[in-house]
Amino acid sequence: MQNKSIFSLTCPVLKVEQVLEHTYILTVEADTEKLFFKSAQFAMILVNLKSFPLLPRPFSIYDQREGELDFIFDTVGLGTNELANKQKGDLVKITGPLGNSFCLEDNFETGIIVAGGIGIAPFKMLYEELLTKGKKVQFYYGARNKNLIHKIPSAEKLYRISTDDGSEGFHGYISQLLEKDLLETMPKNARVFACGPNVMLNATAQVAEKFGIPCEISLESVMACGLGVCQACVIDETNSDKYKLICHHGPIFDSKEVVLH
Amino acid sequence: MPNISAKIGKLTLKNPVLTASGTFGYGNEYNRIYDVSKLGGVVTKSVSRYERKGNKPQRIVETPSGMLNAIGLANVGVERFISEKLEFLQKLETSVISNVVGSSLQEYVEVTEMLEAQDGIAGYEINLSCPNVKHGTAFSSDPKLAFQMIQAIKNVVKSDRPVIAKLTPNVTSVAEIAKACEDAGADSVSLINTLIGIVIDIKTRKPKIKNVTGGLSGPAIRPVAIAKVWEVRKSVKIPIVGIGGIMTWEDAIEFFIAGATAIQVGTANFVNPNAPLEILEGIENYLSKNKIENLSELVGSLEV
Repeated sequence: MQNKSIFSLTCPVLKVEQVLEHTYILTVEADTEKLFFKSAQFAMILVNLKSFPLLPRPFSIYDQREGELDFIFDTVGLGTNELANKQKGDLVKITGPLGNSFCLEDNFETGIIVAGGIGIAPFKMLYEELLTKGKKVQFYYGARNKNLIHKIPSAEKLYRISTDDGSEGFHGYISQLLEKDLLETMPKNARVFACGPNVMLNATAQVAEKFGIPCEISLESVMACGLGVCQACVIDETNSDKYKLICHHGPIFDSKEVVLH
Repeated sequence: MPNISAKIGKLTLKNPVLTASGTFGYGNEYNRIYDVSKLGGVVTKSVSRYERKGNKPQRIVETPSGMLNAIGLANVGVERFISEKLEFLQKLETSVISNVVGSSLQEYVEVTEMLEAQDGIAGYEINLSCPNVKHGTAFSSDPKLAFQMIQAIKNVVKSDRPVIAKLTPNVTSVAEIAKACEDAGADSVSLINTLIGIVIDIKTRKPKIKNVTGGLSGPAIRPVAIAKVWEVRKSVKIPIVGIGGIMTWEDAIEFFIAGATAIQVGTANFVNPNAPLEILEGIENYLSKNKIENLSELVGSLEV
């Protein structure tokens, strides 16, 4: 009685490319028939096969080609710093595909992507998927400053940029730029897809709600297993005394489903 | 092929590799990765009388070669366990051991009685030792209370299902508690549960875990666990289920030599989901290579 849908495979690193000061793209060789991801799904990556650091880390899929997977990440601690220094041929263990993905089945015309910082991760694949489905796309990207904007070549020309310090694009938060644009032109039948820090997601969800636009958010958390077992990645469910698990019920949620702190 | 079955009370496990409660959900999660029926048994997430939400986040933090957790026994409660989780477990071709927890002796007894009425459960592990809930370790810190608890549970278990007492290492003498459990009729003891620890964020001077303290698990605690198994082995005759930082088959062999009849794989499930299977395979190879016909020959064979 087996329902094999998740795989845990040892994969050789092909390359690690530095794309911004603290941002890297890891490319691994993998059996992509097994490790096949939908946009915004994630993998648990064990950065080495020793016991230190002990736990795997969750990473959103950034891109996949036949036999290759890409993950984009910022260096923030022990695991990501080790990952940034991987050489070709080094081994990592990848468990996936995990979690749900954005809902694209609904009848909407325009997808509004809102990324904050490394929250760009799930949007390369989503952007391409939206285009394939014949949707219009608007692409918002907020960063602290102009040096922290990761350019996705195929989508770059669409970018509406905000920076906290005003060094590029709109001076302020990305939710404010979104609100300003929506006041000017309200797209028909839109849907917001957002990923970034919780404060940014909160502000974006409020803007979306104000304009009556459904909003899906991609969340992250500390987690040990990614499989709904360790129960580390809890988030408050709206109007309820219960928790949802980011790894199991998410990482994508309707913004009205959960309470962001 | 060596005989790798393991006897716990009247229950014969087809092999000695179990999964530790709280690290394996209700079995279905890992069955998406491999056929969990290959294991010697599955120990479920703790089941309490009523659903428990668990502690506020942050609930886990990584430590050197380990992790600290304070989940707080979040679980669906015995009624939903029976209505939602048991059907899957009943289909498994392996021994399902329900981990039972409560906030009073009465609750432990009620949960056990409710599970006694169900098919497809092979045994009970009585969690006397959760460090992350109020009074969680009381029953495992006082030999009299441990005795009362196990006796009360044995009174309601009419089936052949073994009662395994899961013990905390956070006491002066775990051997004394183990002996009390044996005297009360426990069929086995499992140890160790996690060691209590704190990690502090020196920038904020706050504990990294909201609950302040958490339970330390992972390879960091393995030598402690092995010492406790060895200590308990000298004071009880009932079989010991060894737990604590088992990542590889070599680790499991150490536990057998120290005196464990079976072992549980815990934190390793998070690190390497296939760990229990790899450990099982490694144990078989080790026995074959060393021409050991019965795993039981290895149990407690430490030469000092």
